Amino acid sequence: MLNRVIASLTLLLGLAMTMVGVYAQQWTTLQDLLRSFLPFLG
Amino acid sequence: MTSPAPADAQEKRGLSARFGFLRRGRIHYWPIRTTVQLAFFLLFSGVALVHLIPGFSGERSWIVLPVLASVKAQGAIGGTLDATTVLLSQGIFPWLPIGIMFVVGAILGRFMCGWICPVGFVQDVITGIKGRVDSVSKRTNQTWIKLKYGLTAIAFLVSGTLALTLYYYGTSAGTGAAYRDSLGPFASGLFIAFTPDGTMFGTLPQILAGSWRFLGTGQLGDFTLTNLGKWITGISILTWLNILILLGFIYAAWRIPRFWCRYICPVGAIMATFQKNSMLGIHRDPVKCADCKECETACPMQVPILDLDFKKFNHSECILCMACIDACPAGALSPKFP
Repeated sequence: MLNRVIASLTLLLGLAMTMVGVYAQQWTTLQDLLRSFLPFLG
Repeated sequence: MTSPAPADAQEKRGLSARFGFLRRGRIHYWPIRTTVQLAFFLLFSGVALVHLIPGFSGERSWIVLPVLASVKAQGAIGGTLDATTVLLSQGIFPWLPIGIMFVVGAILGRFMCGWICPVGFVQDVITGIKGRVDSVSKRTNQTWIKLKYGLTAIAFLVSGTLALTLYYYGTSAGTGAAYRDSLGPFASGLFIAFTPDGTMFGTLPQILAGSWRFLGTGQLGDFTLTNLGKWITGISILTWLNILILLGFIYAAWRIPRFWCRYICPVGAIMATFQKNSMLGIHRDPVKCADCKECETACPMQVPILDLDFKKFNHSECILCMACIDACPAGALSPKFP
């Protein structure tokens, strides 16, 4: 039972953090940063 | 003297006898898992994709998964750890990758270590070639497991202090920028500089691509020891260290199954904390289980399955590869969700 409560809270916290990331449009920054590491095509 | 079996047990035995062929034909996870691993291996490492698809423009998805997939590899998808440290190196709090780790961890635990991770797949292939799952002593295993938590703490200490310095002192100049410069190749993340898959699918292909330069114009006269020496001495000490780590990784995977996942992997360390309470786990049927230890022998992570709960177990080292389920002759193990 306690495991399920912890898992649910973790899930909610994760969703909240993901939403903050989406709201801050972090994916564009992330995509640019990750792309800059491509040695052949970057 | 034996007591007569209860009616429902007799019924079960009758049904079992009648539908025994279904049990014999139960799902085996290893072919499915291997196919999934291979597909994701291509997505993460991407070397093959780059050459097979001429239209591949080098676009990289912002979607990151909690596996060890180096940003240096030619992949379309990256890993959350590298995304986290890369964002921290810019003084940005990594909401998105950390959020993804929490969501995946809460639902699936370390499932992705067993089914998706390209580094895990390489180790599984090495173990497959060897043909047997070796184990180390329980005490040694328990001691070395702690190493990955220490390494993760060091990695986050470096990236965390850098992020705070950049946040408070600015990213363009001053103390923050000076700190970042002083970290050199480690600024983007300690594990970006050292991971074996980054070496395998990023650094080594790059070096080999550059190796043709020592041939110069391709004339026979360009193939000289001087040119070869120039090319070799041009390779940095960090790259040589990476090659050494890669060789060590291959050797260690040969000796101990999933060595990297057990003792080194920072993503494994993070996801292990979620695994303890994750929704996906494994159930062991106390009636069917004969304590034959076949499951423990098959487990690449050396999880003490028989010491864990029957109803549902979520051991922090369990990567939910389902090798134990395939190995169980009685069919006593099954995935359990939630």
